[in-house]
Amino acid sequence: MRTFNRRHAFQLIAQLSLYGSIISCHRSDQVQQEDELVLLSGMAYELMPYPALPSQLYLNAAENILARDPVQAREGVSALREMTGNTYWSGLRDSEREEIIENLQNLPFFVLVRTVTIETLYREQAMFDLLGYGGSAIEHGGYINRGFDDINWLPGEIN
Amino acid sequence: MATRFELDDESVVVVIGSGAGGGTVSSELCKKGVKVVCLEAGARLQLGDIVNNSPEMFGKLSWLDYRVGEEDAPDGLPVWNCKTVGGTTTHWTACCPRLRDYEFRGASTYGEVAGTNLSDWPFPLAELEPWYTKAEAMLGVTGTNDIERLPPSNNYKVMEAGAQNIGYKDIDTYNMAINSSPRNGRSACLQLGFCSSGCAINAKWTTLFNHIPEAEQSGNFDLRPQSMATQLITGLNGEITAVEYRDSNGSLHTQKARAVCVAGNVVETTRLLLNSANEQHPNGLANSSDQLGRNYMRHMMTQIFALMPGEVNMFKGTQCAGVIRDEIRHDPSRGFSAGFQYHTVGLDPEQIAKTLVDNGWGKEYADVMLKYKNLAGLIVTGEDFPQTDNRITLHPTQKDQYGLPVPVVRYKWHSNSLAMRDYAKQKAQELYESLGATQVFTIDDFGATHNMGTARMGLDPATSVCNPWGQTHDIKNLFVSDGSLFPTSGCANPTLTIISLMLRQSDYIAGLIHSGEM
Repeated sequence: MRTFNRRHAFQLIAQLSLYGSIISCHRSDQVQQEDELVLLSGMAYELMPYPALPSQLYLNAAENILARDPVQAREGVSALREMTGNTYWSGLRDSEREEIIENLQNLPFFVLVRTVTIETLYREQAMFDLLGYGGSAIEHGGYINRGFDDINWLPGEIN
Repeated sequence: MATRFELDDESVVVVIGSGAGGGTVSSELCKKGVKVVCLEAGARLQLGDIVNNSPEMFGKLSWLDYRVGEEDAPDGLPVWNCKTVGGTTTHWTACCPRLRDYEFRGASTYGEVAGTNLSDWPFPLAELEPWYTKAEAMLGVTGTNDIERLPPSNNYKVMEAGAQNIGYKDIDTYNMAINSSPRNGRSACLQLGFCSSGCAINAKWTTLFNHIPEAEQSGNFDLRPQSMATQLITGLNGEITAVEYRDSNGSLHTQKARAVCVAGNVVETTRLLLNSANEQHPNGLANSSDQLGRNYMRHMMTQIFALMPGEVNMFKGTQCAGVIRDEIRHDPSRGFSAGFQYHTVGLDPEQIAKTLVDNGWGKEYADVMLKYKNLAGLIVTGEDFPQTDNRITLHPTQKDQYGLPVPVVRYKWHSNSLAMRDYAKQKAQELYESLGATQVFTIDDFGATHNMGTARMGLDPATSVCNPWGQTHDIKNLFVSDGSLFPTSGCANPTLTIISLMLRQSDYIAGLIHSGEM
């Protein structure tokens, strides 16, 4: 796999948006392209890895990313495919995946994937349970009788 | 059956906006026998529409139309205010401090500060005190009127313990417009933890469920939700004769008026007055001073979160019921002018994940999130100084869905604010580390919820937009009725001051009407 820098990543995405599908047509002799949902969910996991969460949630994130901004998402997927070459995402080493994301850091595609991944994962009950977050409180009468002031590790008499 | 006035009824006062400013001035005028048509851009929610779901309520309450942000104002959402009946009083966290005496006398207190356009308020604190007292009783502010303060939450206890460790003394659960016991038809707080998403049990005061129904009971109040004011029309004598607005179908209507109170929060108030420019007022209405839109202030604000050695569960309870007041003073020995306050803040996991570290990602970041229960947090609110070029203007070409020019919000931090921020962050870090915090995070960039200054009051029409009553210098029957009026920001959350100013302004307006002057 080639080494990329940010300038290359910028140029790549700019090129792809200019020439659209022309580049992908030229690759018909390569192995089957990795599915866009798989790539996006792989990147989503890289950004927010929670092995305890069902992998389905990361596929949901991928679908939501495509729905939120299909143009930006597909440009990003094309860039990812270029950066991974013939290797599927799951076949890359950790350090390679990390390097790819670092080159995409703070670009609009990165922001899209990060924002939508957070919104997908953090609205799930499975995540609430993982974090110990209570979610909606009104149906339980709030926290006035459910520990809003039960702190027990502060020194002195504050507890 | 709801009250409805005719479009050609010239005897009505038109109020634009239904929040802290518009809701208060409307309700007070109605109770004094004045007919009011209130145009609110947003929809009217019922109590059942308020749910404990932060993203859903963000979508329902917030003003989400695109605004340009420049310099230190985030593009897209430079300002976080609301588009709904009740305005930003649906979203606010109900902190109700008063401004201090020295903050009213900003120019006199701080002297010449390079790069600022400081000015004193055109009256001292003593003038506003009776109105503050009236507002506190009306809202049921804890810590006043023999109303007990809210009980201390875990997040508060952490802040209090750390504060005492570093020598602070003036700490309590704050003056809040949130009932500690049932009062005036509103519930007592159940510590739901969703204050900024709207209070689902009406324990937190809002004009939506308080001033608005009161106004309706008078029979003098015609509230028109989903009505976007687009232009103010002036007559031959230069006074306002009517307000043009679009309804929810996009149809244009013209409502005649004897007077107009503009309470759209700084962005919409500025935009409406600028956009109503005509031959007589080519620079915008009431803008002979060229100060309209300028002197925009939003407080120095920063949030600090810390990973503590044990559980805090900051989501369990009111988001902001806790304050440290020791730094509210002018003391240049600290390296900056003016003062600031700390108050507790709680955020839900999604908000933390999005903002704790700017574009944070990866295993390390995810692992911090897994310790969400151990996060404690506070927010710093400091005085920022008016600068001439911190301003709200109209985009030269971009238009919105109403055909109006998109607002441009330009704000640059002053060096005084940066020095204050550095000091406050350092202290907050010490506060949390004194209790064993293992990691401290700061969040600096977010849409401003405290917005002030763009139509400031003053005695001199050359350097201010409005007189001490909020009446514009240039147009006798045009009033500004929101935080745009503030000549200085102080470091107090602005809502109580806005409401107090409006209790006073409505007295003045009713006086003009009843004496036949307007």
